[in-house]
Amino acid sequence: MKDFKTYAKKVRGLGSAKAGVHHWIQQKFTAVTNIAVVLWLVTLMVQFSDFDYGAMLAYMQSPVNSIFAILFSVSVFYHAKLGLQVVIEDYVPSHSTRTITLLLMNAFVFAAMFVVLFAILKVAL
Amino acid sequence: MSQKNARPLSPHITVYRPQITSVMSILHRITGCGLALSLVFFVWFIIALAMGESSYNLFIYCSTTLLGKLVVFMIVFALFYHMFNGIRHLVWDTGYGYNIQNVKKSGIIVAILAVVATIITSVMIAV
Repeated sequence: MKDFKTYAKKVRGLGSAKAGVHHWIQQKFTAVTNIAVVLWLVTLMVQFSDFDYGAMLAYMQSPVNSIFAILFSVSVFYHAKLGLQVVIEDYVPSHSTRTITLLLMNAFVFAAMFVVLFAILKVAL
Repeated sequence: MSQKNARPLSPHITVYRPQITSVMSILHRITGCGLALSLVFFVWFIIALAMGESSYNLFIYCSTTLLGKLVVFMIVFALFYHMFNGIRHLVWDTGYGYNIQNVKKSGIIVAILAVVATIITSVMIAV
């Protein structure tokens, strides 16, 4: 039996998954916070050439820079997770491959985020 | 296609001539993916700093080779392009700038800002 119904036809009337708006708002919110924390990183990169290990350590140990590093990690890594999620959802057609890819991506991004947070605290404290 | 019955497809992107709108749209996605990947360098930097002087110096050595500098340059461009185009998207979200002349105009402004900011920042990093 051939099934000519489109996916849209099959799901219409079932109601929304109630997750799209949440994702969109989070993406926009982190986009705005990213501007501030990325500019902090750019100022760090510009000063980079003048820094040896001791100077960089002292710079990253100051509370303002530690806090900016933490905010950078949370905001940017989460924004990256939201963006990569959309890309994977758009380009991976098979349902099972897509689910596995999304799980792996989330695992990598959050693992990296927590490793970075640990390293920042280790430097700062 | 995951759909069991292959139904006719409408003409896809390959039949259209590239335009500033479509090129900038896909560039936003490409730079976004590139930036996500480049977070590896931030992870490397902060871990190296936490581990001590020798690992930090290795990071500095690698990031100041010719290849390292090229990668940093590309990251800086992707960063500014994604940031300025992201701001363009945020402006659209408020409901402004949707007619096609303004979309093209803001696209050109974003491209110029990205190139200028990349050059200024790269010079400041190098000096």
